[in-house]
Amino acid sequence: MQPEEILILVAKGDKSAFGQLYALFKDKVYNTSISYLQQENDAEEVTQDVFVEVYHNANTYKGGASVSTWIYRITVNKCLDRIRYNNRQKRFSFITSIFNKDTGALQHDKPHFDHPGVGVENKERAAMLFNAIRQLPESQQTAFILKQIEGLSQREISQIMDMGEKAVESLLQRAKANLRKILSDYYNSNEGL
Amino acid sequence: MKQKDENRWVEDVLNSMDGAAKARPAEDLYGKIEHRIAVPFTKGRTISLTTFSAAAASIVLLIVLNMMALTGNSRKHDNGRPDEVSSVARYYDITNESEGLGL
Repeated sequence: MQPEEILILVAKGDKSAFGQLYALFKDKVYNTSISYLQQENDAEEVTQDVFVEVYHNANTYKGGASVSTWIYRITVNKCLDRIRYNNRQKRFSFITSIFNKDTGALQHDKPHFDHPGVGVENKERAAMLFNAIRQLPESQQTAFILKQIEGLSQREISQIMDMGEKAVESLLQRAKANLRKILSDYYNSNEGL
Repeated sequence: MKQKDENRWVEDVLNSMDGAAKARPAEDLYGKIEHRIAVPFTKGRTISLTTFSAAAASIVLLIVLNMMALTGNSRKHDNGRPDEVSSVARYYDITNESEGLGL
């Protein structure tokens, strides 16, 4: 069955169809979320939010774009919302407690991130790449994550981001140029590592 | 040579996700989603007691500071010295009187 057909059943409240849809898209949603948020807990929460929204809004799917594009779009928006929320929390951390009640660790400090899908030999480099991705503007982050980490085509990215393919290409070029600069600065500040 | 090493390192980092496997969610995630779907959908968000207490304390602090500022100002006016308005008025009276006297 095609995802579009499954979604029609989900819109009618079919729980087993929802299970099928989850099985089809869970890795895509979670992998995208963890690449943006770089924290397993946040990625799990956003994955839940995405599928709850898919379930409640299945009847609003109009069919203009593919189900995959629709779900990616929801995922990207939820991730960006969560990043903005986390940044707001960070800004107001001087009023709220900055230490975690249970562990005593700093709540708003981003820990070193290891993507679970990366092999041991690339772990350190990938961590540096994710640290650099965090410093990109939102649209460049989105284009880079969808292309380099999710492996989507420029056409799919342009549909998700609702812009032309040329614009996506230009975003990707700028993202790579900025990442090169961030990484070069890091390399030089650490005297050739 | 140094530039070459730097460029190679940057490219290695940029391509470090090539061939990486997709991250997979925990097995129990679907159960959590089912549970959230089963509970009635409510719009709005719940806030923690800590956040609520912090907001309440900020409001109380703001009110206290405002009251202190107001009572401080009124005390300043009650300390026997003429306030600015009456000083200015007196100055003009004196000036007018001086003009009347043809000074």
